[in-house]
Amino acid sequence: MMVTTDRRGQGSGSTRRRIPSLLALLMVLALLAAACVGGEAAQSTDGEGDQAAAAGGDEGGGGGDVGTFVHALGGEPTTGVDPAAVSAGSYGDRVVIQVYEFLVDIAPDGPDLLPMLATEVPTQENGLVSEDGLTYTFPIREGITFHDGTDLTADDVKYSWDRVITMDLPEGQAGTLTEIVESTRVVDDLTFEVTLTEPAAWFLTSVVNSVPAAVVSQDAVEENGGVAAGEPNEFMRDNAVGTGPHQLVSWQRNEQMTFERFEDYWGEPAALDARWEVVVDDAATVLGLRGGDFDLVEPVPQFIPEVEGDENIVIDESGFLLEPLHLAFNLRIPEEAMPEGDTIPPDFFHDARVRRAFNYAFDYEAFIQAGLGGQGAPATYLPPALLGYDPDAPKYEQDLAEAERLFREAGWWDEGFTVSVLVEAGNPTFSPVGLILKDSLEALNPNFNVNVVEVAEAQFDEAHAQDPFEYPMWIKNGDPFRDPHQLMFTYFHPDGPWGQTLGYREGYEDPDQIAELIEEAGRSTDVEERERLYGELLRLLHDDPMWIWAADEANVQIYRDEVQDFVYNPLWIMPRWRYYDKG
Amino acid sequence: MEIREYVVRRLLKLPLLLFLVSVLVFGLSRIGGSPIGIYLEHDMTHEQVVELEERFGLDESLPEQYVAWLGGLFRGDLGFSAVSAAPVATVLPEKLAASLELSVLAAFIAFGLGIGLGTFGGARRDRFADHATRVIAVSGASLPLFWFALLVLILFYLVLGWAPLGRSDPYLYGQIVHPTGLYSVDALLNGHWPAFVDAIRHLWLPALVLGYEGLATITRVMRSSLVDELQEDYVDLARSKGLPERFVIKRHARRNALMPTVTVMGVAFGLLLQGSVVVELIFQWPGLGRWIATAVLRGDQATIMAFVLVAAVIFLLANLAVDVAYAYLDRRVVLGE
Amino acid sequence: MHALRVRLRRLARLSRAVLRNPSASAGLVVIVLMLLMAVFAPLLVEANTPDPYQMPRDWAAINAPPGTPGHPLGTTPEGGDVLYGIVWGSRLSVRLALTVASITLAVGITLGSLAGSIGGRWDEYIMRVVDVFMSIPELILALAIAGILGPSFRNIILALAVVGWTQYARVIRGEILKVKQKEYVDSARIIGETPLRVYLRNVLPNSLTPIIVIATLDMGKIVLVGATLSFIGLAETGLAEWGNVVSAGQQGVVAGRWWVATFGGAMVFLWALAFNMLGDGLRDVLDPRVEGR
Repeated sequence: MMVTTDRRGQGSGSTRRRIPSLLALLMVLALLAAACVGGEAAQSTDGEGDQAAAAGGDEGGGGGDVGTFVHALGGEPTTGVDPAAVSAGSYGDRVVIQVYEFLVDIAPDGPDLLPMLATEVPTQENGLVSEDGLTYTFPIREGITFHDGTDLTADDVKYSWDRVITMDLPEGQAGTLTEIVESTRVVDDLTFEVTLTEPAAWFLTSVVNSVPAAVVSQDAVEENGGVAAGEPNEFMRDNAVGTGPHQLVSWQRNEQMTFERFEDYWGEPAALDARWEVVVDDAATVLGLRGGDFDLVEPVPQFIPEVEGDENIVIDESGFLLEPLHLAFNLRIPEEAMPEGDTIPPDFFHDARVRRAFNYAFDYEAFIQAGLGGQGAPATYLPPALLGYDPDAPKYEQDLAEAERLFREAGWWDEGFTVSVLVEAGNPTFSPVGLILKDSLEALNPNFNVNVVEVAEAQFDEAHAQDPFEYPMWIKNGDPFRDPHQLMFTYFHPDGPWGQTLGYREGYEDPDQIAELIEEAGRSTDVEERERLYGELLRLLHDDPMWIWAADEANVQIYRDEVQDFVYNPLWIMPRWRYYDKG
Repeated sequence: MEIREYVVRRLLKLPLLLFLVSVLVFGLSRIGGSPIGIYLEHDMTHEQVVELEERFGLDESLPEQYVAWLGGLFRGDLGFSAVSAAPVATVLPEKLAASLELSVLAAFIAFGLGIGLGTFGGARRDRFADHATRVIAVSGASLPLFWFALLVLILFYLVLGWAPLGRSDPYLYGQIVHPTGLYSVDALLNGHWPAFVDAIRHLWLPALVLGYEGLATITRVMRSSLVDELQEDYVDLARSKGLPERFVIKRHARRNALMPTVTVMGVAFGLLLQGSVVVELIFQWPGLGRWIATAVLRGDQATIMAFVLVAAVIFLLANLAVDVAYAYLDRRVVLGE
Repeated sequence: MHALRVRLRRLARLSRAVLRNPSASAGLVVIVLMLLMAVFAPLLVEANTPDPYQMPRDWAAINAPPGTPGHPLGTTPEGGDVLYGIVWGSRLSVRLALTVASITLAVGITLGSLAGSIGGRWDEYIMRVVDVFMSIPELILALAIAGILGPSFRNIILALAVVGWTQYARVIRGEILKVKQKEYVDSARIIGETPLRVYLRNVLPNSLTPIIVIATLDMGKIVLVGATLSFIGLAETGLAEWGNVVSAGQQGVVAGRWWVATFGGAMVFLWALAFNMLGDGLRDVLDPRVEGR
């Protein structure tokens, strides 16, 4: 409020002495206000329910003498940590794999499966998979306890799976279970049986080992809200009652989550407690890593040049990530919704020549350098870690002459076009895809224009959830599928989720052929046959591309050299703390 | 006009003001696309999207939604923060306490040092000390805070190793009880010396950086008002009587010069609130500023709405306090209303 | 026209006083230089096609340090030429400052004048709106607006315009109220002058001084706040704008790639500093009583 004063008003002598004390009064009031407010904070800081303990730090079991593994990530679970309510590839997903467990596990060094909560991995050979491939029997390990002290039985397993299906939350992954599981049955306390709707070679890897199939404590859930169709469970959102080697102890929003090693873990206990630090700012992440506050950081390729010279930091490359980094073409753009300024017709991408021309125009090398810090390689239509990957399958390289030829043949060269692509803002990996496409096309022909439309994450998600999609192209990561069938079906089958939304039937030269190949490969349990089928698919999809697959992202983990026994399998969703120690 | 009347009048205006602010905030949130965008995933079917919309009450008309939101506010339900996966009302007090601790120290620095510097420079008008002071004052208003903060952090954290990131060492933090939520105060209340040291170790640098803008403002105003004050008749009179310069300044001029300075405190407070967004982001401080920055980048509308509302409340109260203090100080205030 | 000549002479006198003030004239010099850079940008650095406001990206030379052939000031992580960003960024900064300032001045003066002149209910309503906007710290509100609308230069302009008009409304209204209390208004009315003439002859010229001071300081602040919004992440990628340049370079500072953030930040700093010094000088000369910001 603008107060104009008569400056000569000096007031009485006593008023002058009041200034410092008034200031002090204001400060005290402020502190008191904070005290009233903060008092609640001390109570609400801890998670609700049984898991609550003092905020932060190493507590319990010899508090302070077990070290803590500090993992810095750029976010935290948006929808909580309930396996029934987390989306694929989200941060919630990643917490689940640290505190919950599955019937089978993926070994650190390969695609092979290991028994986890089950004592054996079901196969046809050991008789735990029926002849027709429809029934799987899991013998449950004895003597496993949950974080709340209750015992694990087959009932818990069935309960866990059923609740996901019953709740069927939009933000969850119930579909993973419902699309293949016909029924589940508790044979006895230590035996669990699943019947499928059809044989699926990918069942164990992609369903049993998936987040919605994590095993939760029936007792804990029943005591805290139970199961209700269509409704999230608040207790499970904020707390975790699993069998994993770490238990969630406290969660300070937007700050950190602390985990303690579970002393009664059935297997080899973890060596360290753990802490998930939420670090939003990239510069702060790198500083924290170099300063020693963080042991492991979320791998952002841009970090690499910044820590390369530091002898205390290890840059560990092994294999490639599962998430397909791509630009997708939309063949079903609604006419009325065409972005302002775009001159393309809605069926622009029906012509395979146009799509191939885009693929030839893109500068893949530049992207690998600029977007991935050099940590990547040209891609085929399957990530290298998956079954069916063929290193000799055809890959796109920038070939401007070929791009020009195709554009001329398709009739766009002289006319030119303006087209938009939607991308999430603030992402140092996605933006360069759009910018490089833009620069490549615009340098090729001045009549070509690409608008890179950047929007906030929430707006991108919203646009992406629309059907039909309202932009000609988008850029994003796909999900980290562990089996080629799910990837192929979801992303490339003409009648699959994306196939339908983006109108692939209109564009594929022979959609039925592709459909058949994908379905056959999904049904078959013969590894060699699957490899052959996928090999054929790779060639077909290359010639009739629905994406620009920007690159295979190298799996680079960045951590301090005090970390011992570091191991990471890209088939896991993220590095698992149970394996690590600090020296 | 009587002080009491003034205070009462100001207080009476608050509810209406807050109501209008809430309308503004609500309108804002409905401009920019679906408020639940952050919860949407690509594999959701249309039915699932509708289900989510219903769960958040978005299927009702705008006025109905506003009333529902307002009603929730009165019940203490400030909405659900997607960024924190928890109700805003749960997360807010923690963030507030953290930011408050930082801001109060920054305010002390800004006001304390600012008054001191302003006096120092103003008393030596146009001499070197004055120019030096003015440089600090002007640079503070011109310096991009994010740039300054980043460079300071690199120098003190990476190069010198004098200052740590974040707010606390989790082990020490976990050792004490937290009655107020202010780490340093709680450490004292617990009588836990190492925790107190830890708190201060983490506090001093971000508080200094945060306070810099306010420091510059206060310095500038203090200096110029002291300069003006020193031109008054009574100062000449005192000087001609042979009273030493120091005495004149301390006893009379400074106290009077403080009054215009107090008016700027409201502005300085606003600067603190704003500066905390950037400073908290860079120094990893888990307060309101960082929280809102995350929410804005990710499009978490519920958090943004709640935050803007809370910021308005704090700002209004702070300004009211300053204005009351000022009116109390000088009864001859001509109120610009 | 005697009145006009008096005014012009006063103007000349004031200008000389301002120029005598060393910091004000220094600020003025810097401002003029930046304006020249903005106007002659295409001559200094060749315009990019098709969009001159996108930094030309050299994907083969990302993160190039200053002195690299073709990139005297280095490049960003996307190969954007920093020199281009600086030079053409001055255009966008001028555009940002002028656009936001004109909108806020127009809206603020109009609404403030309405409130002050008509008074009564209009005054109540308009000042209520002003209070509402002033209840929320500027950056916070601008952040919320730009955040909700989405990252783009246009939205930053919009957000800053929405947030910045209130100070002018207050000042103009205050001046009108002051004038209303003065006697010569009554005598003017007796002579038969219309309120409009009174307004133009008395109110506007008097309120001009505080407004000029505030507007000058504001020009600096607008670019500063705009750059902060960019830093937080609300800029569009690749735009040749100072705040955007800093944002692009922020990551690299930790790795020792100081040039992008430093040059971008230095430009913002220089701009704000120049306008602050000029504004302070103007205030010293014109009206020492206005505390402003």
